[in-house]
Amino acid sequence: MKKLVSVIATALLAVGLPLSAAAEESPKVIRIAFSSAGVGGKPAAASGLLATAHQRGIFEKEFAKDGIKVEWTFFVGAGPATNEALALKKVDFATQGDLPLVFARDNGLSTKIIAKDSQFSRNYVVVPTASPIQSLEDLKGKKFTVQKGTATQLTLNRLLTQAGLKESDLKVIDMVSDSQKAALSTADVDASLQSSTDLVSRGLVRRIFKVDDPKLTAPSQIWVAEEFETKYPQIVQRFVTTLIRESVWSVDEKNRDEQFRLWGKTGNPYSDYKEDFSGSKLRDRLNPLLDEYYTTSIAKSIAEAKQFRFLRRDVPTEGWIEPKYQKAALKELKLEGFWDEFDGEGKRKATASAK
Amino acid sequence: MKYPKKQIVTAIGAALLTLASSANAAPPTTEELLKQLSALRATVDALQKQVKEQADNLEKTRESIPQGAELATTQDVEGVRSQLEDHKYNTARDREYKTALSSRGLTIGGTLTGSYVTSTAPSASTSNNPQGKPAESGFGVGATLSFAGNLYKDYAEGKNLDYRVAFTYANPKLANNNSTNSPALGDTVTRLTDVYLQYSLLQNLGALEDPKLTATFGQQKIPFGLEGQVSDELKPTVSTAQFLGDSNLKNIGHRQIGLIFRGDLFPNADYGFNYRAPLFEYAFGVVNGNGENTTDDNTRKDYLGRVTFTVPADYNSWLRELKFGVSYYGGWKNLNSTGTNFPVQLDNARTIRKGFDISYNHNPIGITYERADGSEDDLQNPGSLTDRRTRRTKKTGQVLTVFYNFGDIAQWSKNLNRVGKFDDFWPTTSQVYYRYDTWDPNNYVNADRTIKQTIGYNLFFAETTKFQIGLTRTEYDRTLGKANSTDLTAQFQYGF
Repeated sequence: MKKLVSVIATALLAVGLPLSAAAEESPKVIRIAFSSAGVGGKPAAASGLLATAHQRGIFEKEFAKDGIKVEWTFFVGAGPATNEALALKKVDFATQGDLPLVFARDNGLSTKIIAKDSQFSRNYVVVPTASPIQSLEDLKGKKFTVQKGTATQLTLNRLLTQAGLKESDLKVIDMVSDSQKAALSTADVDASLQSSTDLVSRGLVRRIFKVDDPKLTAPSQIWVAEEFETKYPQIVQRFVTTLIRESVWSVDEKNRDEQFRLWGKTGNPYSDYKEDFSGSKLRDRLNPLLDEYYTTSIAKSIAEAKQFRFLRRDVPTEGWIEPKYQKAALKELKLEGFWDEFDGEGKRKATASAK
Repeated sequence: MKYPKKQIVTAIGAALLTLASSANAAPPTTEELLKQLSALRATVDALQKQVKEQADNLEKTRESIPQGAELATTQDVEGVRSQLEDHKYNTARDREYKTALSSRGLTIGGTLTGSYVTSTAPSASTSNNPQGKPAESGFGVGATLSFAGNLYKDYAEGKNLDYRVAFTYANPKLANNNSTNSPALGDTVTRLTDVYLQYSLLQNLGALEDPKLTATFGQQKIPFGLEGQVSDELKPTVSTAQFLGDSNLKNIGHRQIGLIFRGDLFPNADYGFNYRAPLFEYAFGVVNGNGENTTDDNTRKDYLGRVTFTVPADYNSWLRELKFGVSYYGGWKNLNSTGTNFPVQLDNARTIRKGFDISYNHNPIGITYERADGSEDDLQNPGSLTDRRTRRTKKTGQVLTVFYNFGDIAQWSKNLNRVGKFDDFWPTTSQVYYRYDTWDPNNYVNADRTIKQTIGYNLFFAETTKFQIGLTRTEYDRTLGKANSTDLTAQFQYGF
């Protein structure tokens, strides 16, 4: 009987341990994660190059010829959820904001940053319509909801510093995006950072502060898991080249409305994106370049995360940003100089020509 | 300045009349004509300005309308209003006639279980196995039903008062593997399991860094070790460890009625992973000590306590979720001699339980080890009507479980199973495990142990649904005089 038990145990373990299969030239599946989901958990994302790539099915078309499946995941738990997926080796590519990305690096998770997804985002500090709060200074002692561990928390801390406050001066309540809107609607919280217009147009909240200074916000980025990159560099190159090629469609002003309508599949209104991008050139906001603005910004995010005591250690950046795939793609597609570069302050570089 | 249409018409009419009337009278002077002309020019300028403003406004309105969008007419708006009224009517009607209502917030939950068990061990029960055949098998069903909710919601600090009532139905085979194979009538009844109120004594607004403390009063699982209280995240087997059996360390294997405080200190909050791991967790309380659904049988109370220590580690560290725990249960029990005339009755016999456990729940790998020691007083001579002397027996149970998850491995992750999907998506997780479970009913007697080894496979394929199959080999030491046996259990469990 002992023998039987041991035979069955071996068989069961064999079922469970096919994971260390021999290295292959191409993966069977490419797993791409968004650190967000649409309203009510809709499987859609917006406001970035990867979101449009998803809606237009470009990676499916690119990799179908090799029989490689593309799987998309939309984490309601935002960047922290993507980090857990990375820790468990459940994601190959992802887009994330700065703070969760820095947390992942701090925790020893290995990624390579291969492109910016978007930059110069806009946000607003909103309060329930009847609230007496008029300025950032009035937030002292108030209940402010934010999803902790996300880029928005770092933006909040930058804002508070500007107003002479710190996070501990507020009662910061951790909520996911949909819960934040519900709590604002019922005035169970006093304030939040929101980009969506829906609560404003319904008269439930009013905006007291616009956040559009590049020093207060940070770009979102696209990374590849280092393990995947080491194993399949040719797939990473095809991924980046495909993304850059299709990004030309994204930044074409002729496609502005169509793109906003694609993003509207998140359940957020078309007017959100129209207003968010009004006065901005698509080519500036949807700019994949890992330029000086990006490198300065990520270094600043690390320093601020440490200053606000989100980090316990220094986070090294050496070897983290990997522009080689992007450079090769721009060269191959003859798109060098297509996007403007920005300096560390977020200002267009003098050498760049306005397009 | 804006001119209403009527006013403009009046002004132009008046100007023309003035010109006309002046034609019949003395011819106007050049100065008068210039004045009139000037007045007319001002009127025309104002009109032009007004037209331009209206054109600009119209253009702005057009710009704010998405391309291809159609403007709603009054009829459209009336249509929407009418549909909204219909919706409100239907909602109110459905709520009144087709919705289960409760006076407070209520969540109804439960599980349904269908199983098949086959064993090489013959049942001792004549009702199960009237012919005493050397092997038996059978199908079984089980069900649980629970009602839980909130009696007081503290929006400011989250110091909520919650309740839970739960029932279970199980035939003897499914109750747990420690059930006797001789079912009595009472074995196949619906029993009340949980009945308690729970109050959060500390602020609990969901912040990962805040310590927690609750007080739970009523009939509840007790915080002793792992086996008696953990979920399937740490216990992959269908059955529970032998030491929790009715004839073994009974009081820690049953729910108890009493007041128990549970809390934690110095939580390690890692918002980068939405991960919380308290450095210390503690629980202490006082209970009747004689199990569930019964009144206290003596004037003494039993006391219990548990402390765990979790190794502080980052989420991505290999030390994540390495936890050590110690538990204590000190109780009293009644002893009665078997005689009928003025028998010996004692209510100060001790029943002590001590436990030590280690768990390493590092998805996809998991290891748990638990040791429970019990010491029990019994009458030395239970047949005597006068002999009050007692003797103490020491018992030990140990269980080691190793499991490995594969597939989506997201069954117990609140991050990974909350993803945006249109369909009823749930990540699939498979699990293989091995368990080694020993029970020594008397440490002073040699060769009286029972050893159970189980290998099994679990498939979690929906949020609340799982399939489990396990093969158990039971070996008895020679002094027990029992034949070794092999059991196969397969079970589907559906939650709702």
